[in-house]
Amino acid sequence: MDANDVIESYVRDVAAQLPLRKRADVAAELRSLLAEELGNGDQAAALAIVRRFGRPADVAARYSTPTAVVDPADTRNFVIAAVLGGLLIPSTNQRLPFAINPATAQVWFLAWLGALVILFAFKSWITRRRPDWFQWKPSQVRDHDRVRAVEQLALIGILVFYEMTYLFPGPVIHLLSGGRVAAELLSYTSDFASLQRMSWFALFVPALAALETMALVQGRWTRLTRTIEIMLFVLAGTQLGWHASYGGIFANAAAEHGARMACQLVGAAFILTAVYKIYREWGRIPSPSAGFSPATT
Amino acid sequence: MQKAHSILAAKLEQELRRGVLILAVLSQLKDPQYGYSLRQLLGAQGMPIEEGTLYPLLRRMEEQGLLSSEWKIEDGPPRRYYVRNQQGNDVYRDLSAGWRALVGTIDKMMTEAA
Repeated sequence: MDANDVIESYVRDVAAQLPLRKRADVAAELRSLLAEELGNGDQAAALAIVRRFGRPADVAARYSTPTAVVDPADTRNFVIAAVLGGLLIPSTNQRLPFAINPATAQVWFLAWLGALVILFAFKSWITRRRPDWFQWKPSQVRDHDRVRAVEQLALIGILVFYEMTYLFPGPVIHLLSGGRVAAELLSYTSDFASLQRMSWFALFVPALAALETMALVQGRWTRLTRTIEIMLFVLAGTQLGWHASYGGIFANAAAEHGARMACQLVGAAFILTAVYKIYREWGRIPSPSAGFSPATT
Repeated sequence: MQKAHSILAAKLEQELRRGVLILAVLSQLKDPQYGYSLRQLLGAQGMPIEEGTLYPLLRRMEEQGLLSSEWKIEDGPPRRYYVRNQQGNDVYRDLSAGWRALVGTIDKMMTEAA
């Protein structure tokens, strides 16, 4: 392979990555320019010149700006959506309480990725053609530390419901099912009713409800109350996860199955809430009045 | 530490130069030049540009409607010559005025800050 072969090979690799209408013309010009740069140089000189010029894909991109399938500005959202899909599609995440055939789950996951690519590519295309559609618009600035009474009361109500159901599953489920489920079926095993197993969640939930009530009264969250809240969510979720793993909650097989599934679902809800709150805390933007120091919030 | 500072300064200067590449190229294309001769010309005037940057840039400027080009055979192989067209002249005039104003502003800011 002599110097001309090196240049020709390079020119062809660059041209192959250009739009068809540009290929011949750019190749002719590039060939002529590289030959001019080379002069009477040998193969090593030719190699040095083309390496200095850049990788063929990079050079082609300079000649003709390639269109990104996923706009670089959307990459972060794309990755978050892809990872969330992977975590939430049953069986790709073995820790979820319900599962579907793993082979089907993999197809669903691939379909999810494919759908995301199409969706983001469509958005990029629209953004290029109609940039005015995606103009930034101001939105209502939400003060995340301000407690909203309705939401807070709803959360306290849910926590009270969890506590009551946990402490008195028989009467509560009997009542909720309109008498279809006999209360006697839902009596805890003596092992589960022991202090070591049952008491922790029974303590964490009232503590959480008390904290939420305190926040409601004070009207605002503080750094300390936010941190305690996250810890209680993690502790409560972990307890339910353990209950679901160890089992032995009810003697009745159907009740046991239902209870373990409920523990998994509610525990996952607690943990996901905690993860979301940790994420929010991590990327927290202090309000203008709070200044820059996170310690002041 | 000194080395890191020099590397950063060189990188930032490169970015600064990249920003004025179009103006530099337009300034030299009153008369037709082909890629290699233009690179030599810019280099001789203290504005060296990598070939991998300059040659595609000429194409993009032509697509933007700033330059016209044609293949010519003079004393050597066929070469593609580029020259400012009417729109290129107008843009060059505006850019030159903008550049001079910018240099004046930055110079004033630097003098006051010194």
